[in-house]
Amino acid sequence: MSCKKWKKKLSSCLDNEVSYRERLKIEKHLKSCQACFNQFKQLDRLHRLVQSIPPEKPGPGFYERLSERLSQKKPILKKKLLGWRYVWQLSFPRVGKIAIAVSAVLLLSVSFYIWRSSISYEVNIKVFEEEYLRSQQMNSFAGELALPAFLEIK
Amino acid sequence: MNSKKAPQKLLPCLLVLVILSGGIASPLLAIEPKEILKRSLEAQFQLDFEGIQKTEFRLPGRKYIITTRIIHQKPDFTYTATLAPSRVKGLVTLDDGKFHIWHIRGSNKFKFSLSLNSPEAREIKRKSLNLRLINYKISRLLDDYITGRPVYVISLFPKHPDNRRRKVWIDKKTYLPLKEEDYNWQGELISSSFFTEIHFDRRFSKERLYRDFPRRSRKKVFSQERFLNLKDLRRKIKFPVSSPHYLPPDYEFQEAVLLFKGRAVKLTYTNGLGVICLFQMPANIKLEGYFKGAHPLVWRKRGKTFNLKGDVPRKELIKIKQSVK
Repeated sequence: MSCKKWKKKLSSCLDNEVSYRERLKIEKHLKSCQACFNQFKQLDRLHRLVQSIPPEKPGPGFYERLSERLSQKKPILKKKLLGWRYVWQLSFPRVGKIAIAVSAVLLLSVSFYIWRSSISYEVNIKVFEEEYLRSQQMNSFAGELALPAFLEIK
Repeated sequence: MNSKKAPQKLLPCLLVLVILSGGIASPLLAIEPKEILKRSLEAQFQLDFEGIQKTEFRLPGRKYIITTRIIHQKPDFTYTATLAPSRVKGLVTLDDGKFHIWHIRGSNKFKFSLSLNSPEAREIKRKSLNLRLINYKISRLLDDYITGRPVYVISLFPKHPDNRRRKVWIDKKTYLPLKEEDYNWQGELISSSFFTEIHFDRRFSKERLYRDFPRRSRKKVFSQERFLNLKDLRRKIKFPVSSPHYLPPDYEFQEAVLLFKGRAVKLTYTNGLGVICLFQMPANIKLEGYFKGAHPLVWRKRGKTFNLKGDVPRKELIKIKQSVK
């Protein structure tokens, strides 16, 4: 195994996330490889340092302040929307607004129509042949029952 | 001496009388060929039977023979399973009076078409028979036997020479057609069909036969629709429907079928046996598998694509094509 792969396992070894057998193998490699051993030492130091830091608890009233700030977000959005409404009310006269709304609806329906007509549909001429044979066999009790097999072979 | 001779003279006279009366009465008692045909139309809807049928389709230079096992349960349930050729051995069909479903066993492949046993289909068949009675000379030939059963042999010869003809063998007891032979207007055999085995009054569990079909196929929404007049069709369809102003002698409108969710229409005309189909759809729908020049009876006119098919002489088809407005 290359050093790159051993180095990946060092952190897991420090966190006790490897099996006993694996740990023995890593220790054996560390004895023979100076570069890996140095990295292991560094990681070990960092690990100890992190563990020595006492866990910090949030200050009093942290959650209250957080929920208050979150609730303050809504009025901002509301304010923005109200602002748009205000601009809409001021900028256009009533007739202009109706014209804008009608043209928007028209634009949407025209684009929908263009989209619908642009979708090309394909029909195979074989289907017409099959349909013709089906009509032909409608007048015959004998032929109509064997027709599906005939079409399948053809 | 005379008293002894009198009964001896009377006996041959009586014999002649019996023969003569039989000769006069038998044509009166004999069933009319038209009546036999009428009875044969409804026969299958009044019978339970199971049979093996061999059908032969003849195309120029090719011949296809298909063997099918047929189970019919009155009034409108038909199940078929193809036995030969091996290429289509797994093909089964089921018609329950609503839909006609085809399925290849062991696959997810299934197709739908309009039912052949539905009240509309029966009405179309009844109309076709009425046309046959008008447009054909119907005569009874010498009786025959099919699978050991006595049959009437009926010949349908067209009053107009350009139309197709038929010979049909009808069971004397049940009136079920046991054999059919169709000839084109040139007198060439184009298809024939006959039962090699048939057993009447056999009942089957429909549920067992349904098991051959995937559950998914039973729930499918069907997109074809059938109309018996053009007025109803024009109300339903989004594009203007054209129809031919000329039809060959004896031909009449039979039905209109909406295809591809109303994107295309099939108009069918018949003289009772022969069929002419005019397909049409808006020109923005692409026709796949069509090569210009290879199909002279495919054309474009007034924003629509047309295709005409029929078993009448070519000159007649061209006349119809020119009359489409």
